[in-house]
Amino acid sequence: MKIIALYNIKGGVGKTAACVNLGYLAASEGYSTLICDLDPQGAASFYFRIKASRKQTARKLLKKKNPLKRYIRGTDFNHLDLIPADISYRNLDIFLDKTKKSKSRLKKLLLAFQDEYQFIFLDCPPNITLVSENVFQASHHVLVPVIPTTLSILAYEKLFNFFKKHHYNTNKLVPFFSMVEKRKKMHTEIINNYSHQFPGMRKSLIPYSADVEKMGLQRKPVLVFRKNSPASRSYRYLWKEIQQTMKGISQGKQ
Amino acid sequence: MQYYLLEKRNQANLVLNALAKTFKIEKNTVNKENRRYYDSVDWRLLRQNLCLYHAEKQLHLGNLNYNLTIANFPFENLPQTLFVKELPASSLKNRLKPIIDVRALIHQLSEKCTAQEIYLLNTDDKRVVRLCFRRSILLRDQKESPLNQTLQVNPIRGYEKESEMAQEIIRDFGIESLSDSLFRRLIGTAGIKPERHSSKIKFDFQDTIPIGEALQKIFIQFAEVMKRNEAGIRKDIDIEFLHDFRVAVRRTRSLMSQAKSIIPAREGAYFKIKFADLQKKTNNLRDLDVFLLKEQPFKKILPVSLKKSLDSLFDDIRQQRRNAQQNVAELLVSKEYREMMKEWSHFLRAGQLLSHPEAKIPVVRFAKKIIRKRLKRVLLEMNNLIIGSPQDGQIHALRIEAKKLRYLLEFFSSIFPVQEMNEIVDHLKGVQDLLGSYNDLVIQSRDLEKRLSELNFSNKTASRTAAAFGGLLTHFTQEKVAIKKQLKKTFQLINDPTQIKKYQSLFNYRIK
Repeated sequence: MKIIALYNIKGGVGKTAACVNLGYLAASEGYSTLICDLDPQGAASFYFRIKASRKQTARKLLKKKNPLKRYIRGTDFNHLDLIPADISYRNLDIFLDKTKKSKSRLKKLLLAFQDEYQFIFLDCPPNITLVSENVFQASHHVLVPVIPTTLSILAYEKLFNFFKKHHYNTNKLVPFFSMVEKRKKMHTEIINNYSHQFPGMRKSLIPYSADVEKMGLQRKPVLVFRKNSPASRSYRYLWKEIQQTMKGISQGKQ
Repeated sequence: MQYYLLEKRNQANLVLNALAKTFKIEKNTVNKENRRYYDSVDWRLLRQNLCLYHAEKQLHLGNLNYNLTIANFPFENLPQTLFVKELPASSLKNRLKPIIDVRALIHQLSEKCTAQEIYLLNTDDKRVVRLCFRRSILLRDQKESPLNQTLQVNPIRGYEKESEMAQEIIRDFGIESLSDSLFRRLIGTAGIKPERHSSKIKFDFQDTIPIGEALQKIFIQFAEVMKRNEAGIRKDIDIEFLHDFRVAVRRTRSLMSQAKSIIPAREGAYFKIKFADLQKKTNNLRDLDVFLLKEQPFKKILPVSLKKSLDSLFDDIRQQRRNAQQNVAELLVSKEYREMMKEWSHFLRAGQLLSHPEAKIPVVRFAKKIIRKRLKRVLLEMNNLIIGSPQDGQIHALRIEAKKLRYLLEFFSSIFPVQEMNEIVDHLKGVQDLLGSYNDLVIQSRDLEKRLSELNFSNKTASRTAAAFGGLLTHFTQEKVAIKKQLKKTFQLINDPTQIKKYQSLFNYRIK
């Protein structure tokens, strides 16, 4: 089982869209896949038309006896399940703080799915909090969508330094450019400059796309309703790159 | 997952209309699929509640209990038979290997199906239940048999309540859920009875029926087993066909010799010779089959440098086997064989076994008598072996006696308490497995020694071949010693005082 997080300190960088589409791609290849929506906004859950039950709260989510299982919902797609988010997740940090081994709680909960899922995708809320640290501990790979803007680059650098400072394995970080608008000069320049500067920056460029925005209307991954759009092609390419990354790591390469 | 049988016309539309009052309906396109089902001749997959089929350029392995695909693999060919060793490395191959082993997977039947997938949606337009209306046509032996339409209900995880609501609506129409899987339904419609595809037939006799009648039933069943396996042997699909055929012949011969007081003397003597001849003519092919099964185990025994030296040996055996198979295939279509089987069938159905004066004895009395006799022989042979250092001939004699006893116990098991009989048969089977392995080693040693003496040492590779043969022969000798040791232990299970007591109560066995 591989746990893959979609994370950025900044919001609005295309985390959820990437999470939903990559999860869908994994499932469509026959891998048993779970998306875990950790963001109280619940955008991933919204895309799949899934609502959390009233009983599903942040407090109950962290209970010891593997409560996660009962919150799993099947999506409209084969092999793809989802744990929806609830607004109470805004308090997840507070409840985590009260638990023992507060930084590894999520990892422990997710390991219970070892035999059931081959991939777990975590759609994470922005900011660096205790939830984020749980995500860093639990994940094998942390995918970081980066908009080719100065602020977004700055946010990625902060994250990289945070990993170093707190002794997290920086090899887990998999940055890629997201919401790219090639007609913008600054985007092209930043991509040219930083593609080499950041170790592990993936070649895939996820474009800024009206099709991705339409996911909110269609409430489906863009890969379902616009299979051959540039955005869909980019997600497919990104998924290939991620698979190669996983292969490289499992063979001891980086 | 649940299946419902739609037996009445238009039932599908009525059900859908009723469901549409509670759920929104999303209809998908109609899919057509042709499935080819594979299993071994003795239905090993079905016995494990599995089914293997080819559809949409893929091989699928399904679990019948849960109607789930547990493994699949891209596979373009559509062969009539396939072997697990021919499949590329995959989880499907790993699942099949321990069950199928070296057996052939034979194309058993086909299914043409049309499936309409329908989703029930909630108020958010989220799919909450998956339905599938399915029509199938069974294809077997160039015949087409349409089956009733089925409705499959697949709950979607987390929406079990909605699935239950949908099923209540379906059940309101008086539609019954199917307790069997769709594949078992196909098998049933095709009239296939997997339990009949083995020489290990279970007989269910009342202990009072006349022995003549019981014998007639047993002989007829084995004649059918022989007939069923003929085509498989001729086409050389799987070595199991010959094995089953020979087991049926051997059991027939064994019972004939033990019930000779009931079989008319002239016919008894005639068929005794005929069946012995039939068995003899298939011995060579079976021995070669067993030898070929040992190719990989033998190569594993030898050091890497000598492994290749066995290639020519096995190429040679393969060539011999081709000839032997050809001979047996010709035998089975020969006039002589056909007539013999026809005569045997006439004899059995003419009722001569029923009219014999001794044929009226209740089966239980007769069974006890011959089991006692055979048991005495087996125990005596075993004791002789325990005392001294057993020779190959003695071990072979015990093997034959033990087989005769086991066959009797199996033929008449229904008239004795199940548990006790199973225990005795299991112990005996343990001994027989060892005796069988010993016998294989004797035959293979004999063969290798003969080949060794015929090696032409002017040939460069001969010395390496001789070294490989030497390695194997040494291993065979060690194996034989190990088996002899094990045999003594297993004998004790049969010869144990508590077991003897059981024989006394079951078969009136007395020690003199």
